[in-house]
Amino acid sequence: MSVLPFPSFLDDVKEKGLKRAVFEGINEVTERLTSGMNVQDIREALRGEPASRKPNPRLQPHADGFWLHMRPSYFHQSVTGLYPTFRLGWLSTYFVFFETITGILLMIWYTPSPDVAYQNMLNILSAVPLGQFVRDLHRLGAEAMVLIVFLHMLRTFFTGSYKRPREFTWFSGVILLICTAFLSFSGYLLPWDQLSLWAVTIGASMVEAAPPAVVGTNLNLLLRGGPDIGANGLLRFYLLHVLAVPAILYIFLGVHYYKVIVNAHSLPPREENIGEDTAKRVPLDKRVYFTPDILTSEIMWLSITTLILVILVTWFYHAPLETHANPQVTPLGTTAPWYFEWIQGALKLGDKVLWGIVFPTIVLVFLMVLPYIDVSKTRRWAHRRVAFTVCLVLLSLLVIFSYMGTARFGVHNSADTTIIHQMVMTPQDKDIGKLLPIPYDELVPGMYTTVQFDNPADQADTVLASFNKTLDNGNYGIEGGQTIQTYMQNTQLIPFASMNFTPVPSDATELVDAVQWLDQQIQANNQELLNGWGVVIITEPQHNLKRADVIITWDEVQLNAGHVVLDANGKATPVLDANGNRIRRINSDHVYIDANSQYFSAPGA
Amino acid sequence: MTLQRLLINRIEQRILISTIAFLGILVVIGWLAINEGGRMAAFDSEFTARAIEDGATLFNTNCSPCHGVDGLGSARAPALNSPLLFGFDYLADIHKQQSALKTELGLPATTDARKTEINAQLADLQTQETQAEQQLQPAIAKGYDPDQFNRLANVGWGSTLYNYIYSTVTSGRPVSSSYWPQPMPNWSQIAGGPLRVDQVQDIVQFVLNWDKGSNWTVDDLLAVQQFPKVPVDPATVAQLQQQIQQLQQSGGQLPQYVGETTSIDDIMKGLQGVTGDAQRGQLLYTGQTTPVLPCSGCHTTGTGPAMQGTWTRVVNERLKDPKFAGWTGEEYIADSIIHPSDYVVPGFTDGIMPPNFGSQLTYQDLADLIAYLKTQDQPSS
Amino acid sequence: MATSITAGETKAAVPARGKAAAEVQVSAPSRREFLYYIWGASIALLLGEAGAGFVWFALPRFKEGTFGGIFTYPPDKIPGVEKDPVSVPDGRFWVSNPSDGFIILYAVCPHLGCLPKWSESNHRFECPCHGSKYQLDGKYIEGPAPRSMDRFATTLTFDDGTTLAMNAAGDPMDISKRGNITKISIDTGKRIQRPGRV
Repeated sequence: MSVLPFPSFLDDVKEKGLKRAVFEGINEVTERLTSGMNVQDIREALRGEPASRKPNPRLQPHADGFWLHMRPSYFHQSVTGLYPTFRLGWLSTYFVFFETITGILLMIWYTPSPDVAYQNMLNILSAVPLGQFVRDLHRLGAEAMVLIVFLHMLRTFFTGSYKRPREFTWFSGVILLICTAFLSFSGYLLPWDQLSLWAVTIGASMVEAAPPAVVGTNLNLLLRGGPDIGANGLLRFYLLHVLAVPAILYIFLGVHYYKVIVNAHSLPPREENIGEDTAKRVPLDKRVYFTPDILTSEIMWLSITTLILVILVTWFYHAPLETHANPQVTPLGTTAPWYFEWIQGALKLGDKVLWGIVFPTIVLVFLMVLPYIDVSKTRRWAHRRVAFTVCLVLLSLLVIFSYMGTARFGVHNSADTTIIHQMVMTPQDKDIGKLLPIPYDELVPGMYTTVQFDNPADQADTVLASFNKTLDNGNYGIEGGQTIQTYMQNTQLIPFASMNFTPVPSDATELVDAVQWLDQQIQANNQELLNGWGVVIITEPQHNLKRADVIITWDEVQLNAGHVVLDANGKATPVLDANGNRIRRINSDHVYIDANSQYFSAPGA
Repeated sequence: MTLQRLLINRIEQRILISTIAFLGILVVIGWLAINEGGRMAAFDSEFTARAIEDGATLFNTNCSPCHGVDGLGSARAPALNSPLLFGFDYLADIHKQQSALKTELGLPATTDARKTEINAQLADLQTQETQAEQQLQPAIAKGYDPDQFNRLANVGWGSTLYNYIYSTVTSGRPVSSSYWPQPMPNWSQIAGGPLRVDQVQDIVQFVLNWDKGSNWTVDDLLAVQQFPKVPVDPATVAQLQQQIQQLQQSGGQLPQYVGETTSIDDIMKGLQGVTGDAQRGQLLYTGQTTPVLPCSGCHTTGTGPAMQGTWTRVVNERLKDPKFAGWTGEEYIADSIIHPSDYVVPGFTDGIMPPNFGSQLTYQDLADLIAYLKTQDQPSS
Repeated sequence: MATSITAGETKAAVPARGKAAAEVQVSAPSRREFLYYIWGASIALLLGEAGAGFVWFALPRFKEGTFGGIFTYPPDKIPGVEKDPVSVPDGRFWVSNPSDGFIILYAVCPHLGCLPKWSESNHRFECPCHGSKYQLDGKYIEGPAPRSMDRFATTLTFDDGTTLAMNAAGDPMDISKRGNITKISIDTGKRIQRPGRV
């Protein structure tokens, strides 16, 4: 007779006593939740004892449960070590979820609109607790993911694991690599700062080159939602970043992993005969069961990776945020993300269609069909000399092209522009102008010139006196009939009555260093900047706000493709005007520095 | 393979390492959490600072031609670097005592004896106020009123100073040409202008950075070149016109303005017999005497042809143009001042130079300006 | 050999089993089979239409006066001959007046889409991204760019009622021997690419 009108737990209590009934209840619930393992089975697994009942309850969740049916119940012992997998495949998978979670967190505070996106970033960084932390994790995780997926591919190549029957696993892996790179790239745009806008503009402009022209133009319009990246473009990149590409990635992750399970992890090449694939036939004594061996191992790698990321973003890495995106001004030295530098480098070789579209497509198609081209059965290193040679050549090309892709390689800007930019640029790509990190108090208002460093230090006063005399209170003539003073007043809009250069205060050591550096750069380019000298003028337009002007003036010389034309004596040839006089050129730029700006040199810069 | 043995082979080691890693993450996040408040505050001040820097650049290119590079104003626009904008009261102490005494004076409990005392004190305060205002006299002469010391209160603005500047920059402000030569343009893209919203915000941050709080000095006030102008009530204008008429009827003399539509031949006739004073011309040109002229606002900043070398260019370049065959340099300059749109020097924009100097200048003023410009005969491009 | 045959092995094993196994029965499709093909084709057609519809849906369109439409430029603001060019950010073009004629240049670098800046001191356009340089008339000087700067189709109207349109090659238009210009109309939807670095 039941206690209640229907059979219930209370009947068990009545029959077995409370304690035993509760234990048995827990046991049953546990077995249902794990699809086959009760408390006793779990504890045996945790203790490392063999299962005490048959059939082996540790295999049951793999057969009946949803989550573990996706994982094999045992691995071959030979693939559980550091070699041959290096856990790169698992880490790639982990990063997919890591990026999804941190990404969803960031979505809470983000709106994809040019009007507010940058404000959202400032808000995340200034008013969201752990906002910077989550953003840095997401950004660093994305870059780490690109690297790890790439290393995963390299490893697969070196162990020959792409060979039959795993050709399609490799193929789907290449699709995942492309998805990863594009996810990382599309995320670049979202902060809507100068770096994002222009790095993505450069990257996306490759689409425009797709032949024929009508396809390229329209594809470009489709991607950007307009002739350049604006509100529509930002929204489209956002949708690609959070919806379309992740969807494709997840689908192919499923395909990829299904193939891995079906074919099992390939064994180290030396453990098999040539042409054999014994991965599926694991002898009983070589089986390593998922619970608990593989599970603990995976969690260990996950925890170590997360710890490394957390430490990096806490002390060593912060995702960059430059000034608000400005579609009207391209910053000097803009470049694509590092994992696209190889395409950038290739583009410097010439034609945009050939090197921007055809070449990367050939590389990717080659990667995809590699297992169908390289059909030799052997996976031994000694037998794959050609494949290894091709791989190493490609790797070297990757490195060389990436180096060529860096902003400075093969780009020759005029020396004056480059030097001035390096003096006054706001933080950009781990680089910062020499004047910006100088302590605010050391930026003593005044006029300083590089001339003082061209002579021994004890003569500085005399040199400056004669220099001031040469300048004749600013009436020193420069281009276009201007004097240096009218140039400063009319073009640069800083008013002062007379020019009087003084030595840089010696206690302002960093300012001394900066002016000295300017001098060295001008001297190093003394062919192009003939008779050149530089000037740093510091004014204080507001309380707590200083303005630093950097001016370089020189005699124009003949240039050919940006390089100085030298005469027989190895001297530069000045350009002469109609009257046979040298032409004096001037170039300048300025930066405002607030007392609270806290500019500092990036670590390692 | 030591690493392999250490990390892979024994479950106990894996568990231990993983536990240490998780605890490590815990500690690092804890450390972050402790510092998070400070970090957010530091970021805030850092980015306000960057906004001020960006605002400074924008102000320099967009605003300084009218408001002055130092924000002290010009004949084209009022000062922003001014205690008036930030509502600093130079007579705060006196104003406070006055209002306290006046309140007491109005109270029914105040005895007659006390009233006399208060009135004496008020008279004393009045003297003090007059003395203090004496100090501010140059500013008062330029239109500053020490009792109307807060611009926001003067225009009846109910919101914050930030919003006052922000909305003015965003939408601009229409004006009558009777008090400013041109209106404040609409700067923000949301009002059809060229700047993005964040750029407008940066400019506001920069302007607000001029605030000296309680540290404004009298010198700061005296440095202001141009105070805001208030539109004039048509009734006042009518009254003034009536006074002029009365003056004319009673035989008084009025200044003889050149007139905006006077032909150049008539102007040259009017100039005959008037001797130009180059020194006064310079004062006029630089806006240092009445009528206050905005010449230097453009001709020393590149908005208009440079002041330096004006005469050289007139003689060497302009008069060589067949369009001006038979003209004298004086004629050319007079025509350029009174009828600025007749001829615009290539590379410059028509419509910037105000067309109403004809109704501001007497023949004496014009002659002085020409005399001054004739001294600008430095070599030029 | 394994007893279970995976997909890969089946395919590879075909030649090994001799020609007989590879022979395929060819016969006319049955009615039902044919209907399946028709059905499949209709689905493919529908998907094709959906694809084309999506492109049509997502492709941006341009209104008059916005970029991609027609712009007018005030004739009195043409810069002097060989003087610094004037930028019109809304229309993304430079108005340039080199000695060989008047020309409207597309402001975007034909290399990778950055905006070249006019360098007053060097009297040329310099692209800040990869250092391409162009003359005042947009002609390529140096750098990685594949061609000279693009131009926009421009039509000039003169006070005598005549008009002058930019030729198909996008050469500068000689305006020195014509009357006063009354109207400059720039079609930013019609970009003229130079055939190379000319």
